[in-house]
Amino acid sequence: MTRRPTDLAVPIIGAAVGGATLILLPAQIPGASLADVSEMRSPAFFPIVAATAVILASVADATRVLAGGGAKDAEPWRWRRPLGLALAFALYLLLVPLLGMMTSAFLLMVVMSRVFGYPRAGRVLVVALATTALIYVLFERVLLVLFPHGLIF
Amino acid sequence: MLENLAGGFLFILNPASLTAALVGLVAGVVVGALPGLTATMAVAVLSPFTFFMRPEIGIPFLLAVFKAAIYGGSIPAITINTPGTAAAAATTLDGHALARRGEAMRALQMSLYASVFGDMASTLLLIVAATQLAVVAIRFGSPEFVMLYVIALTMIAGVSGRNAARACLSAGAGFLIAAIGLDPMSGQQRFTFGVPDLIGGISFVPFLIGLFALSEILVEGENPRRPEEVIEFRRDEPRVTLDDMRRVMPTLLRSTGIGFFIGVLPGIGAEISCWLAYGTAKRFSKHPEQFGQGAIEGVAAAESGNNAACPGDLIPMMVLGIPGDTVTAVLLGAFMAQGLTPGPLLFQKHSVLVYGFFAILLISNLMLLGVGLVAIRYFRHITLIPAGLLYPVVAGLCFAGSFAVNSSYFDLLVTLAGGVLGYGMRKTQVPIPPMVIAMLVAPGLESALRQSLLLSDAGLLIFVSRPIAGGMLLTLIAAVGLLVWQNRRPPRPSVG
Repeated sequence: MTRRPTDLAVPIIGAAVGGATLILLPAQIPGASLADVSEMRSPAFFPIVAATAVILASVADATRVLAGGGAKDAEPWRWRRPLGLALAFALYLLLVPLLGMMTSAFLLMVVMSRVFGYPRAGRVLVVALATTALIYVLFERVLLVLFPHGLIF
Repeated sequence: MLENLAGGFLFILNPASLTAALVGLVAGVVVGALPGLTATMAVAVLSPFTFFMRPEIGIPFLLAVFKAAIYGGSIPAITINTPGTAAAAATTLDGHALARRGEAMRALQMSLYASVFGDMASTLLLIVAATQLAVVAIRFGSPEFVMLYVIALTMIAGVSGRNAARACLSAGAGFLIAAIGLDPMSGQQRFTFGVPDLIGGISFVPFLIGLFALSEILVEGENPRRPEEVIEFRRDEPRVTLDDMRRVMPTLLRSTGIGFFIGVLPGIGAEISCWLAYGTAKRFSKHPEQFGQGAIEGVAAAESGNNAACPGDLIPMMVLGIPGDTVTAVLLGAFMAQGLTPGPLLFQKHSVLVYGFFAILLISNLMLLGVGLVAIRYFRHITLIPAGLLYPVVAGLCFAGSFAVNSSYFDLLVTLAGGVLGYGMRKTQVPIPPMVIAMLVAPGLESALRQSLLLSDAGLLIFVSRPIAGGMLLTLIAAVGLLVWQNRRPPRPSVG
C-alpha cells in the first residue's frame, strides 16, 4: 500500500480550514466568540458546529492515513493538461472584462481544443464560431441576458 | 389523488410544457449518449435556461433531461462498450456482447423498452408514495426535520466514499460554504470578507456547474478518450420480439422494484441500482452462465433498474426537501430558483403544479419511447465526437450559463473555484455528493436545529421524547450500525 502526499494533504487542509473558520469568527461575525456554541440565537452557533465537525473529521482522516489506510491505487497524477485547462479558464476570466464574453468564449474554445491536442484547426474554428453564435443568440437574443461586451464585440 | 392527477394533466397538457419536455428528452439523450458527460452535469449546465421560464415549462424540461440522460447512457454502452453515464455501466456487460454477435438493434431496443417500463412503473409508485408521505410529513416539527437531515447525511456520507472521515469532511465543508452570507435567523452577515457579492451567499447553480462540469473537463484532460469504432447495424438483424418481452417481464418487475427502492434511499441512485438489479437478475436466472455473454435479461435488468431509480430519487427531494443524490440536488436548486420550496407544504401550496410535474413524468415516458427509437437509429455516431471539440463547447456553455443565473461576473469566479475544488476532490477521493447535499440542506438544518434547541432550552431530550423524532433516532442508530457492519465486511466478488 502506497501513501501519497495528497493522502495527508487532505486532512491538513481540512483542519486548516476548520481552524481558520474558528480564528476568523470574531472578525467575520461581529460580536461573536467561541462561547456562542452554547447560544442558539447567535449567528456563530452553526459555523462553530460545522468547523468543529470539519476539524474532527480531519483528525479522524489523518489518523486513518497514518495507520496505513492511504490510497491503494496510487496512479501517477497527469497534471500538465488539467493545469493548462485551468490556466485557460483563468485567462478567459481575465479577458471577459476586456474583450467581452463572446470574443473570450471563442478564444477559450480555440485554446482548449489546442490543449486537448485536437489537430484540425479549421474544424475547431468553425465549431468555436458556431458555438459562440449559438450562445449569443440563445442568451442575449432569446433569454435577454446582457453579457459583458468589450473592445471588439 | 386521482382528481388531483387529472387536474395536473389538464394543467400540464399545453404546447409549451410538452415542447419543453420533448426538447429536454432530446438534449438528455444526446448528453447521456456522450461518454464523459453525466446526467448531473447535463441538469446543472441546462438549469440556468429554466430560470427564464415559468415553472410549468422549466421543471418539465429538467425532469426530461434527467430521465433521458440516464437512458441515453445505454447507447454507447451497447455500441462502443463505453457507458455514457455511470448508471449504464452494467448495460455494457450484456449489451455490448449482444452487439458484437450482431444483435445491436435487439439490445438497443430492449434497453429502451426496459428504461421506459421501469420509469413508468416507478413514476406510478412515486405518485402514490409521495402523496401519502406528504400527508405524514406535514406533521413534522423542527426536531423531526433535524433527525431527517441527519439520517440523510449519514447515509449519503456512509455510501459515497471509501471512508467515512472524508465523507464527513466533505459534508462539513459544505456546511461551512453554506454559512457564508446572511444568518437565516438574525440576518447578520457571516464570512463575507467585505465582499458585497458574498452577502447573498455562494451562488449555488454556478458553483455546481463548476463542481460537476468544469471538474469533469479537467479530469478528462488527464487522459482524453479516443473515439472508438461504432458497431454498425445490418438490415437483417434480430429485433426484440414479444417472446423476449414475455421472458424478461419478471426481470423488469423485479428490477423496477429494486430501482425504485434504491432511488428513495438517500445517497444512492441509478449508479448503484443498475448493478443491484443486474446481480439480482443473474441470481434469479435459470441460465446465470449466459450473463456477461449477451443475455437479453441482463440488458433489461440494468436498464429498468437504473431508470426506475429516477422517480424514486424525486420522493425525498419533493416531499422532504432532502435531495437523495447530486442530480436531485441540482433539481432542488432549480425548484428553489423558481420560488418553489420542496417539502410537504409544496403539496399544499402548489398542488396543481406538483401533480402537473407527476403528469409530465408519465407523458414524457411515452415521448421517450419515440425519441429513443429515433436516437437508436441516428444518434449512435454522436458518441464519436472527439474530446477536443466536445469539451470546449461544454466549457463555453458552462460559463455562459453561470453568468446568466444572476448576470454576475462574480459567478464566473465561483464557477472556476467550484471546478478547481471539484477536481481536487476527485483526485483525492473526497466524495462530492456529501458537500453538495450538505450545502443544500444547511439552511433548513440550521434553522430546525436552532429552533429545536431553543424549544428544549438547549436540551437534547427533545430528539428522544417526541415519538416520531425518537423513531427516527432509532433509524439513525440502525443506519450507522449497518454502515459500520458493511465497512467491516470483506468485499464481495463482482457480479459481472
